[in-house]
Amino acid sequence: MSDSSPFSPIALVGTISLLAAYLVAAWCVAAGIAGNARKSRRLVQSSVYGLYGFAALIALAAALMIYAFVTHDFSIKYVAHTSDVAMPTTYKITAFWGGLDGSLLFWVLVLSLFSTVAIAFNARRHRDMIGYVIATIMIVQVFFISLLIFTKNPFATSLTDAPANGQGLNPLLQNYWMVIHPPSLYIGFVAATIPFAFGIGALASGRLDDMWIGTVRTWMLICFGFLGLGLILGGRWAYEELGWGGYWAWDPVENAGLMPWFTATAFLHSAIIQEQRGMMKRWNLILVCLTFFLTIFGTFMTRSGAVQSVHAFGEDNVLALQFIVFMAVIGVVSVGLIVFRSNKLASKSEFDSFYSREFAFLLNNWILLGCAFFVLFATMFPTISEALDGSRVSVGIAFFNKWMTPLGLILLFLAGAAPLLAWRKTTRERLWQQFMFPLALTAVTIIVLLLAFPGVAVKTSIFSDTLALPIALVNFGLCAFTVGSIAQEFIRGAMVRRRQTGSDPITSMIGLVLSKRRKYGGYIVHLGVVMCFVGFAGKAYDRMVDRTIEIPASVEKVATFGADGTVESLPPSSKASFAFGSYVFLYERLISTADDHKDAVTAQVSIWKNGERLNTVYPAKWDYHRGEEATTEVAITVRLQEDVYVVLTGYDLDSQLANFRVFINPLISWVWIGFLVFAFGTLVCLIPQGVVDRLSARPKSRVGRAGDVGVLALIVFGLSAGLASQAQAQGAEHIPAGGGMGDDGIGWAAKNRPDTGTAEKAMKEILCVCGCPRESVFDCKCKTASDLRGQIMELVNGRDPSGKPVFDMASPEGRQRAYDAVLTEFVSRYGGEQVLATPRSKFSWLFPSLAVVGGLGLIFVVGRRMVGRGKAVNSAAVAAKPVEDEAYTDKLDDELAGVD
Amino acid sequence: MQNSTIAKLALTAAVAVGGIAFFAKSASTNTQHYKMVDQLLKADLGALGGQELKVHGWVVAGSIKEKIVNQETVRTFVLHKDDKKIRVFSRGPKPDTFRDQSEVVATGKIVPAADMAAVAASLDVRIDSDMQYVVEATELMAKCPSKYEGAQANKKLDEDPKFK
Repeated sequence: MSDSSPFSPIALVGTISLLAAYLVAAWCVAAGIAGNARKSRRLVQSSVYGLYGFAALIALAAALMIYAFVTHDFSIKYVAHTSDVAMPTTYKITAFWGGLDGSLLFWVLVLSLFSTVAIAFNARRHRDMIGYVIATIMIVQVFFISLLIFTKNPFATSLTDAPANGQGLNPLLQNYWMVIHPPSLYIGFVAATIPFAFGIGALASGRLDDMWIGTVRTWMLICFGFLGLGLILGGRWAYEELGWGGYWAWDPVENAGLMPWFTATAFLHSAIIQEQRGMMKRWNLILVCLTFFLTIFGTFMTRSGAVQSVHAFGEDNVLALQFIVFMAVIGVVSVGLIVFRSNKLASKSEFDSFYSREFAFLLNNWILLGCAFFVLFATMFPTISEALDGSRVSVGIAFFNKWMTPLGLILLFLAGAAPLLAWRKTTRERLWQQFMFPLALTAVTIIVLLLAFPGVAVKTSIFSDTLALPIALVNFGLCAFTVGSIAQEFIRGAMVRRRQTGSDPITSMIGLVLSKRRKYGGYIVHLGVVMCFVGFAGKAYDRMVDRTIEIPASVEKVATFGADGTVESLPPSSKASFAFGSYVFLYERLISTADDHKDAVTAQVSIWKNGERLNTVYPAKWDYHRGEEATTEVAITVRLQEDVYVVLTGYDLDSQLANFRVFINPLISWVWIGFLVFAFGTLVCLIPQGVVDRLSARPKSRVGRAGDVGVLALIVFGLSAGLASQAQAQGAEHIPAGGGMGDDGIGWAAKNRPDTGTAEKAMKEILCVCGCPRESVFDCKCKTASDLRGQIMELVNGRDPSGKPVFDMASPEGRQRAYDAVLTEFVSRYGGEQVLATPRSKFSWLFPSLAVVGGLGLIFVVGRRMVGRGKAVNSAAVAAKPVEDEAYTDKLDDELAGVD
Repeated sequence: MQNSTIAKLALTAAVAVGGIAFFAKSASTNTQHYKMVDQLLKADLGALGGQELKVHGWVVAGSIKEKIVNQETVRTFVLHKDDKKIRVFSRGPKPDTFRDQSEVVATGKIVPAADMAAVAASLDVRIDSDMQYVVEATELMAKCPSKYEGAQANKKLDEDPKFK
């Protein structure tokens, strides 16, 4: 619907809705503050309704923006700047947050949705402070929406005629991880606003009892979970898309998400001390305000150009000034209120001993805060140095690693040690009893590793070049210590519960987790972190090599190619091969292809281990016609012990010379697996008590139990399928099984378009095999897709020998049979379901998510009975408990009192 | 104020000051300078030896020499800014847009020219006698219009007729 006139009704209505939202937000601020100050219920209620109305207006603006993208309204500058006609619909929608203006609107949208949920659930419970809470949220909204209206209006239209086509989204952002990575980070950032608003509300109203901290904790957990998700997805995107072999480079934009994650983590620990001991109230409020401040600061860093980054949004001094003023307001209000309410924030008790859990938590807080400030300082170092002496001096990745590695290891130790300590004071006997097993496991792990892998003791510098220690070995030892500590906690807790309920060990374990979700969910998070640290340790052993191969095996002619176009066996001597690590790489051929968007040069490389072909990979370079720099399409062979990561760094089409960079990344898969466990633990922590109560109250019949078994089987299947699909998605992404995208690539997109709805449906379900980023043959613009579309239509419209149509296309059953037949044919032709968009397409991320949700379901289903049983404890059984369990039961009761 | 409180405060202050001093020292030895070729040549190159830095300049036309030795590409070229020049040696990949007169940021270390004499000889080049130091680069980055929105500096550069 590209219109030659610059007038756009979408832009008009969108701008009006932003203006209306601005006015509503301003009213909410005034009504909220006045309502609570004057104790006027009506004013407070009007601010609540105003907040809902605001959310509706912003949802309308966001819907209009998405509509503008989908309908190609290029009269809107932002749409023209970040999308084009040919982009798949998914990326048109993600282009919404692909640029600065849209990302600000997305921010406002997410905050309005979150605040709607938060206020709906808490308006009554916190009625004496909810006006202040709404006012705080809406001041933040007023700030962002004023940026939208006055500086960065995403609905601004061109003054001249609308362009016929847009500029398109950066190809690097057209990646399935980018569909969910930025929104995850934004959601994490935005979620920090809710705790901040409740903190300010509590300070303003003087209601500084422990009631507000429960609400704040839940939202901080959401912030923590989404920031973690955003960070890890960003890492995964960098790993797959940027071609430098790693996932974390301490880039300012990455750091912007990491800093509030540190402070949010610190708060989640120190909040427990406030609940248990009535201490650290002031500290917790500082952490809440600091977390919010850092989210705004991170946004400022990446959107104002204050620091240079590969993915910052560019320099904008006006925007920078606006952010600085806003941050100053946040700082002054937060500090002012905390000082003003200082007398109400005094601790109820003091630390009794260094050997106490609260002291371990405090230490954890210091380290986390130290990490946040270290990252802040190092990220801002170039800006600070430029301001001081005019020269831009940065600190490299090595500097970050030298400091963050030891700090991370201390945190890892504390994750294992803190659960072993008692509140107030740990006696010497209990210290020994608690630490014996984890320490023994640590010692055994280190000894076994040293004996089995002597190279494990490689030294790494920390703090400065002069201090080098076997950090990776220490890391593995601490991982073992923390796993030992967590396992011990689980086993002892489950044993006590088993005696109390008389159930089997697994049931007791699940019942334990469900009844004490925050404690044991937290341990699961720690377990995920341990797995990530195993992955981080692999970094100490990664290797990289550059090789220039002058001719491929196809030119050298020393190898025999099979019918599938690959070399049949590794030639004993070839100039086209090179050895690296325990692998031999054979450069088989160079393939040049093109489609409507890009020219692609793909190298076919086989990887051999012990004379056997391990894999054939297709690293490539894609040169987009729109003139951006060529993108690197890496080829990753995922193995649990190490990834083999091949990059085509250069080529010469005439001579067939190719340059390769190969990375061997040990243990890297553990980072991703660890994150899945981390996410699962976070979700366990977030299960509301009401849900568990409702489930445990349901009577259990035999049919119900059978249903549980069925659900259990389905969940196990779902988990397996989810993990397998994740692995497959990685492997499938770079396979150009069709051998190329066509000879000339021009106009193929328009050929063999579907002639029936059934054909179209099938085309959208079948993935193109040209090596594109998992586009369906319906969307892909290459010759291969065009041919496949033709074959699909032939199958759908097929006729038997007598000339009659094979499928009755007039009936729904016939159409379904035709559709199924096409899918079956393609699955059989390409040897597996990797050719189907579902379940291994861009939605592959859905499967692990479903698996996680499924895992929660598993806990509900199986644990329901256990929670129920826990209520019917047989008093005789309790009385008959062995004496040695009493101490542990007392400890559990002591520790868990009031936790949930 | 009680003695124990004073002791705690003093200990905290000592730890804080000591920590900051150690941190500052560590930071100073890990800094990475970013210098244009002319700025770099004004500095004491000998004193910069061993430190990683980024050198920004333009490739002198005709100065690129490349050779493949044992499946490894070795190259040298001269970077300039105005009339100031420095020779760069690098191995491995180069950016797609790396060519004569392209704008390049080389990340690496300053080393004495004598240390690279053998490599230079293998590439059939002679290091100018007035060049006592050269750059041994580990990474080359060609400046190009940013992949991301809004890299204004690069956009301006792209509009410069010199680079069209």
